[in-house]
Amino acid sequence: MSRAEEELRSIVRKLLERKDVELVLGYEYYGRSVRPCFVSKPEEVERLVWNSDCWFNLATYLRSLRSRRVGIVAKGCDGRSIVELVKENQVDRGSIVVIAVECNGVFKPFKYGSTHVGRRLADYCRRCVTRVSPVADYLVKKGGQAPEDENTVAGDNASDWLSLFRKCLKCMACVKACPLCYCTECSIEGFKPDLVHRLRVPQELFTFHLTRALHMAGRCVECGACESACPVEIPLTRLYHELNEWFRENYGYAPGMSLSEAPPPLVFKEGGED
Amino acid sequence: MSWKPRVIVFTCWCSSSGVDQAGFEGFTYPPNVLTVRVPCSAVINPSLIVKAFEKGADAVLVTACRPSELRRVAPSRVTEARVSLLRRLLRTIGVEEDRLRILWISSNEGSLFSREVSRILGEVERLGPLNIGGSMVEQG
Amino acid sequence: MRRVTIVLCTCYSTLLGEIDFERLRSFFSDSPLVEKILVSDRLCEKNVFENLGLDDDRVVVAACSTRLLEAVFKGSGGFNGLVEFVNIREQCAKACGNREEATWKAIRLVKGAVQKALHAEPLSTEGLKIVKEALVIGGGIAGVRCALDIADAGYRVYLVEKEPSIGGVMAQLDKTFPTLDCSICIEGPLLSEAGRNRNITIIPNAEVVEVKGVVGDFKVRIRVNPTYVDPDKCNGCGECVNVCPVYQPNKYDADLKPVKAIYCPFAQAVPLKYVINRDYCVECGLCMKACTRAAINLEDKPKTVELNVGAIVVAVGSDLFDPRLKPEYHYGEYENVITNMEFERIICASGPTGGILLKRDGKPAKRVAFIQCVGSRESGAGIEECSYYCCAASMKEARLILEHDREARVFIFYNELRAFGKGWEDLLYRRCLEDGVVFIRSRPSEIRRTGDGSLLIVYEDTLTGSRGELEVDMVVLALGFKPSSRMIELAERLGVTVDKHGFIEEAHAKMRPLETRVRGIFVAGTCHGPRDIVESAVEGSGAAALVTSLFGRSSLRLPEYARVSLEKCTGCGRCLASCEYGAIVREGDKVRVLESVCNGCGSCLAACPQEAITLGNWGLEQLSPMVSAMLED
Repeated sequence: MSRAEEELRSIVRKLLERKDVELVLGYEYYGRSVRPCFVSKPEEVERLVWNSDCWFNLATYLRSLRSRRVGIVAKGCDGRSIVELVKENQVDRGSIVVIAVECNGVFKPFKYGSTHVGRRLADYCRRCVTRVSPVADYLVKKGGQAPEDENTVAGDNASDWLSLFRKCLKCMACVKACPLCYCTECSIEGFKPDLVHRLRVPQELFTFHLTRALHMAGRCVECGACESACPVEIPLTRLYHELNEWFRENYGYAPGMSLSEAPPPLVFKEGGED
Repeated sequence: MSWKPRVIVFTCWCSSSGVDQAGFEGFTYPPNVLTVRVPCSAVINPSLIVKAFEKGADAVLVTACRPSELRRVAPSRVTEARVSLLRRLLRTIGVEEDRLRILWISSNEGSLFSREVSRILGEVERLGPLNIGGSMVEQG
Repeated sequence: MRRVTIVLCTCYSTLLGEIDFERLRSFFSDSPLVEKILVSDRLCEKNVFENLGLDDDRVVVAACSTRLLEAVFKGSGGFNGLVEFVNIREQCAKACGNREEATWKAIRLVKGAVQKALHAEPLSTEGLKIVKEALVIGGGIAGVRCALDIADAGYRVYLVEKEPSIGGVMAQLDKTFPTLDCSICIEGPLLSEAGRNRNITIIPNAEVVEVKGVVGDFKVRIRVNPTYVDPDKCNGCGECVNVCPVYQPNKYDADLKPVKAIYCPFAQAVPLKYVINRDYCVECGLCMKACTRAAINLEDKPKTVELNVGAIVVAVGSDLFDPRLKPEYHYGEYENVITNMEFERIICASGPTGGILLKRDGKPAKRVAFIQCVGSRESGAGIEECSYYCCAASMKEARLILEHDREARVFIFYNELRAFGKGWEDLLYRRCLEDGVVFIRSRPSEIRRTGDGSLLIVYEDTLTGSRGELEVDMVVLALGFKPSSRMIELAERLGVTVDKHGFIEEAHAKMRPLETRVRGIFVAGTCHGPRDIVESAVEGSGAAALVTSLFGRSSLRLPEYARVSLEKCTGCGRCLASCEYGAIVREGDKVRVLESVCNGCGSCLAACPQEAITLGNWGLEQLSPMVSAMLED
């Protein structure tokens, strides 16, 4: 057990004992890997772990726990998604306790049929700009050990996005893993079949992915949850990163960095492009 | 028949009059240039443009009012930003961004529309067919 | 199952040569989506379409320019949203090189339109109710002119004024430029006409506190401040004034002339009712004894008036710049540095000095200087814009001084002299020059006081580049306009926008200059920018014309506006950033579209990730199948 884990557990125990929160979202071991867990009793805190396999973004669960007081273990990017959720009126900052954990990056999860053998730092973590959550009520320093690549195979440098999209199964794992995909009637899940129909595979994959990218533009906090959840390993975060770059270049704006920073009005000043 | 680019043109209310004027003035363009009239360019959902590409469009044009003509309140500036964002996305995934254009066409600028369409058609012809739909379905 | 009727128009048979109508017809005749196909040759003529009997059907009309034809259809009555137009003339027949191509293209276009018509939802054709009564806020010249014109057209008008009397700034002026006719003499009759007019209800001492509703049906709440005199009982006899022991400064006289605590601001006031200023009243009760009609009630409380009106005209005017913000002129410190409004009262025969230009010490002012552009055309404390009226006003005032006293010397410190109005060049500028008014191009840097109490103006003449000092008895500051915070609050209550200075913003500066961004709320006078009397009156009449043209309609339909499905809305607010009109507001944890403000551009539709917003039949639900069908092989 690392010192960070120890610290994390004591914070959570205190929160639960004082009944500051009803439950805490954290990570636990599940076989050799890690999965999200919900801790609601002080004696359960021993389940909590914190290491470089904790790639899930727990903020995904916040919206469904909206009416309750919850604590959440948040990496830097998870914190950014909490900021976005608060800005978008989905989560009340006052009802959540953010236990920020300093993060040095997470490993890509192992997948059946994956081209990656061994543990490898996720590509989106290599682009990380916030190792600590911008919102925090508690801070746990030194997040685990700095992950080391055990694999020297080059990352996903595939540039043929069309063939990457073609692998897509429309399983919606990316949508379900994403903390910011909370629409009640997801437009790419095919509630209205006019744009994308979920059962028409492999049709409409282009519209599916580009629409999702457009919906994430300027909002995606690049936590990589979608990409890690994807069974066919489409490097979605890289796509969304490009769109965030567009926002940064045009408006100097990055999502999830500050609660007071409103998203820019989507306009070009007169005589913009062309 | 040799391949001709298939183009969807989304025209706002005002620029649709400009396209009308082009017809009046006897400018002809290939029948593959199909117009869709919308009340304002801002209503065009970027997903709709994406969908048009997937369904076989080789290029998509959006014609809108010049923001400077609309004074302070100019929804076409929003369209401009959306088009710019989508162009960035197209470029990222390896589709030539010039297949998507926004043109400022006023209601009396039929000749400008004619000129621009011819120019863009030439460019798209050089780029060749896009065939997103096909390439997404084909296996291997 | 939904089916579509296709109506083809041959445009007086002229399109027959350019499009193969037979092929067009046969292409669609087998389609299960098509009910029937009709061909007409003159769809644009009166009643031709109506006689086809397609009232509630889904129809695709393939004919000439949508712009032309749609106007015909809208003119002929309701527009239920189930009729889809295809332009097969300008955008097809005329645009294609040959008949083959044109026919091919026509088929594509109609295919798309069929899909759109199939997915269209019927729109409400119900008209909005129009309450044919108007509210005019502000009883200055713009508001009074406006109220009179609306009333003369036969509609009821409520004229709300914050002061005890209507009249506004014009009632305070001595003479008007360029003709130097007496201001109250020309405004007075208008005021009493407004007071007498049966269609006008004047609500003085009042302010608008809340506005709800949409064009045609606004609900307005007005607070009437207590005056402690029952206006229904007061007959304006003035007995109370004679017995009142307390004096107070009169706002009407720029605080230069005292009135009693129970007072009527000026002789021509409308309504001619006395009011008590409780800040000064000592509650001695003498007025109650003197009043034969028992009109005085010191227990008076604020009252609320609820109005239901169809249109609102904002004519609240504007404040003037506060000269204390320019310390170099020592206004408020040097007693002979005065504002042009104070000057107007001093030079007026009914004013504090009976129309004689006296300094504070009671001696006549012989040398008078005007400083122009105080608080305007500068980036400092004032506003950058020209204040419009003051060149003419100062020249008028210069002439008034010289009319009273031929021996006086008048100096005008100007930046650019702007005499652009009718008669201004001749009646003001030339006359001033002839009468010996000295024009000095300069914005003086400072006013100093000399030992004997006269004023020394320090300036640099920007024509010669030389520095100068000028000794005068009195300095008049020509103040620019500055919207009051009170007006900005009112604008917020009304939902209209203000510009960076705080003036109300027009819907379009040129094409819709008297409309605001809220339909049914109009604007007149200086509350939307610096103006003079003439232009304020013109705008009052103009706004009245807009109101009466609204009231003249039999029914009113708002243009299609965005509607939010509350069921789907997650309140994420992405639409807020996309709306250029500011027509979307948060309400609870959802959003709401202000229907009078929405212009129907549909930007929010494209911003909403789950199509929770609809606008007519312009959603993805309609356009996506349309585009797909057009591209199908």
